[in-house]
Amino acid sequence: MEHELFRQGYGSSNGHSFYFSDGTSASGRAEGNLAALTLAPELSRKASLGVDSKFFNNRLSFNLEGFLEDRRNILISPSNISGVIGIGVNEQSLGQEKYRGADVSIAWDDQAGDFEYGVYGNGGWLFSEVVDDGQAFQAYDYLYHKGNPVGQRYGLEVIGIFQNQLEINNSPQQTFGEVRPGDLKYRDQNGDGVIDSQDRVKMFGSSIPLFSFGFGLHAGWKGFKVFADFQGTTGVTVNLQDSPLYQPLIGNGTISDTFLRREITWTPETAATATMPRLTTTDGANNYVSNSLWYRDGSFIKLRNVGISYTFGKQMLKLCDATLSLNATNLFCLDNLKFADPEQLGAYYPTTRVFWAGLKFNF
Amino acid sequence: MKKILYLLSAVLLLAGCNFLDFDETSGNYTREDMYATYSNIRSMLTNVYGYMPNKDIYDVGSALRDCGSDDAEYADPDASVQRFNNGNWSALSTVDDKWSLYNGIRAANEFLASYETIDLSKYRYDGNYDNWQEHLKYYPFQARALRAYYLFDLARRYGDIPVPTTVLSIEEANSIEKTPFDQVIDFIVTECDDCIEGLPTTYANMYNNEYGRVTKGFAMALKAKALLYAASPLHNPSGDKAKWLKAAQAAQAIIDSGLYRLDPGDVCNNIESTEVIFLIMRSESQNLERYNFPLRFTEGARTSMAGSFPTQNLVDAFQTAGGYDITLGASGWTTDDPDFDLSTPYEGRDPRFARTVLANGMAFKGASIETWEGGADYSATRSDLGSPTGYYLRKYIQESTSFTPENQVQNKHHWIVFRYAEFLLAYAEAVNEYFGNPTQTDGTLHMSAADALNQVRANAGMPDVSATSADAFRQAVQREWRVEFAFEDHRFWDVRRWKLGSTQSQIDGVHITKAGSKLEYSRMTVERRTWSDKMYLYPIPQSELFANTNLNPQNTGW
Repeated sequence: MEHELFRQGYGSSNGHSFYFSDGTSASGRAEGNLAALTLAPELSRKASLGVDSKFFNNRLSFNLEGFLEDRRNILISPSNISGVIGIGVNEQSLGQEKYRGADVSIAWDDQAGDFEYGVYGNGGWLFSEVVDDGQAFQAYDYLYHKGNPVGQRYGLEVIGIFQNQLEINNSPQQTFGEVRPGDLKYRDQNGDGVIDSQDRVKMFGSSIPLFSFGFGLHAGWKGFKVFADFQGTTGVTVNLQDSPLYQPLIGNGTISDTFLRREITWTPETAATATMPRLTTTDGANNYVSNSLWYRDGSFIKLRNVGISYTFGKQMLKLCDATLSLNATNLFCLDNLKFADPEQLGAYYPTTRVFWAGLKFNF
Repeated sequence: MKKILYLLSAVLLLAGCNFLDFDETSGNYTREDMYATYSNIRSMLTNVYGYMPNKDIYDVGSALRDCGSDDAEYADPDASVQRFNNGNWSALSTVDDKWSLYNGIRAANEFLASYETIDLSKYRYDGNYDNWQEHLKYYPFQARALRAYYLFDLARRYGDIPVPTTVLSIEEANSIEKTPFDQVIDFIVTECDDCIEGLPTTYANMYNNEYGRVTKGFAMALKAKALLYAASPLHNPSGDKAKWLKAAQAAQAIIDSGLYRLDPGDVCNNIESTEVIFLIMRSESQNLERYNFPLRFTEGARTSMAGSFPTQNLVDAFQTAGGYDITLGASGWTTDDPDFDLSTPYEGRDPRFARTVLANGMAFKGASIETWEGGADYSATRSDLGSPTGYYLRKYIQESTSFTPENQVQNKHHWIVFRYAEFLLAYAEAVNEYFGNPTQTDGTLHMSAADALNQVRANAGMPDVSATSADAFRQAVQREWRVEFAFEDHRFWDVRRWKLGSTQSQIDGVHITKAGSKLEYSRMTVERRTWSDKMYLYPIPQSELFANTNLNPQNTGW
């Protein structure tokens, strides 16, 4: 019924019916949700200050920029409106986020006779803060998103694995699904004896990296050229649940060898060394909610591009230049996960590593 | 020349046009569309009706609200209705808060505001135009009567409530102040007075025969009920007799109107009863029986704990046919009735008993109910899906509903909102409190309290009540409410308005053992409930207090 945010629609989808005579139902029509009176394009106010400099006869270059950004009019669903209004309210442009950060880059290029070389590094920091995301009233202060980074991870805190039914009976009731020995045990944050959505806490970092960096080098001598570029991020938390490996057998799905090699699932025999809860073909609702077991550090450094080439000059070939090159992309990745690329957890195949060779003629 | 060409092309290309005026919207209806035809206007009002509570009989999840009182216990200990009983009820963990009634109030306010703009004159040559006009003149009164009912339903929960009389904006909704309970009742009464003038006594002779709409009787009934609640001890701590007088006069207006007559048969689900003032009609459904039938009649349709089961506390309220009390003790039944047979304690009782409760030995669906230990309807634990109290619900249950696979039968259940007997009892209660004497009358109140009560007794087939003191008569009236209106959503509110909270802690059932062909009865405890006097009123949801700080202070104790 509400097709446009800016216009209130009327119609039958909210309407209640009633019987004014036995057997004949009359259908009702109702007001649709209130229009988004604050609808406006997202507004970003950014102030940045930077310096670009070159020293030593343009061999050393140094750039630094810091910025403060305030984003407003983000479209959110407002939830702090009293029910006395008696109608739903459409998304409003009331969200607000703040960002601040800095980018720095430094590079050195020099030449010594036939040998030219250069090395560079850059890095960027991004700090974010949620000012207003329209979150509804929460019973406990730790449930609020306000003040936390954008993309902050939240979940239940895992304190162990249930070893037996007695332990389950003596622990707070976990309301997400069936609980049996081998399932994850959570901490009751608010002490109400029940584990439910009110026990979610802020944990680890955000899905948006805090610090991204890159560095590399290039060098050349006579006809040879070589270069390498590294790139990485840190300060990011990934969710293993995004990987298809980490929900084995759910809904009669498959289980991977990689998973079985890396992890030990709980059985009464492996209880002492188990790293994962029990395997199950049911939906495992108790274990597969956001919790501290699935969040991992997603930092990585990758060798993005590396290459070497040699140019045969015109003097040698008479007709043209020829360049022979050998390149590789995504040569290796150093990270904490080891079994997958943290940037592509959701992919069903590993990140491709590409090698190619080329010959270029210049007439 | 080139310059001129450049200039010309620039002028043509860079100019804009503003005559492209087509409608980019998706064709959603606007408010004007909703009030442009009779059929749409009718639909807008139908939506206001849709907020009437108890439409499916059960109203708190799958439980009757009586499970929050000592009349019934719900089978599932984790159901939301149990929050009334187990101490988990709080402003953060609300149950039955019905704040959604504000949606109904807004729908009524919106209707009333838009009604002023209705202009159907372009249809004046339509054959039905006169019929429509006849109906239209009653529409605003219907909206006002419904709005008053929703305000009453909120006020009896929360006491002081905000009363919106116009459509609110976001700022207004987040800053509206509460209106004190007495003023809310005054508003309801003035609205009802206008609706009494404006509404017809029946729609049966009008176009489309829409007899399910609210009538003059509904407005009179709402006024009487609201005044009775305002006069009751919870909101009338000083016992101000002027309030009881107003309640009595409002009830008397219904009695004197001659529109309704007591019906000796079962009024529930009965559209044609002469006693019905307003009822809500429904389509066929098996859900009430699925939750409440003894398990063996559900053919596996009930697979999890559900059901509202009457308690021994309620059963004790039903007298013997001779008008004597009968109670169950630790080792059997006791009564002062000399003619009563204690070996068949469920026969020879108040005739309303068999219409309200299914007890051991009663005939049902071709079989006999067996709740003795080991019997077909006995349930040792709640997970056996039977009754934890030894009794099953009978009121509103349609016996012919059937779950047999080749022969499923569904039935309609029509919820009684107001019926005539309520106002005879309201009159009896109010007049007794006003005069302090059950047999007194005067110029304005020409029937005595005892006469009104005895009319209800006689209609039920019970002997007259002969109490002479105001206190004894009050007890008799309170008992009569309980047995006449069991499972009609009165007990839960009566406990509150009469401040009977202390009776809510001990919930009992019956334990029957069979030794040979002889049955032994004993009283057993089903559960102990937490009662606290703050529970006379509901807690305002914490999220509401957060959004609108003018709704503070919270009701005392929460």
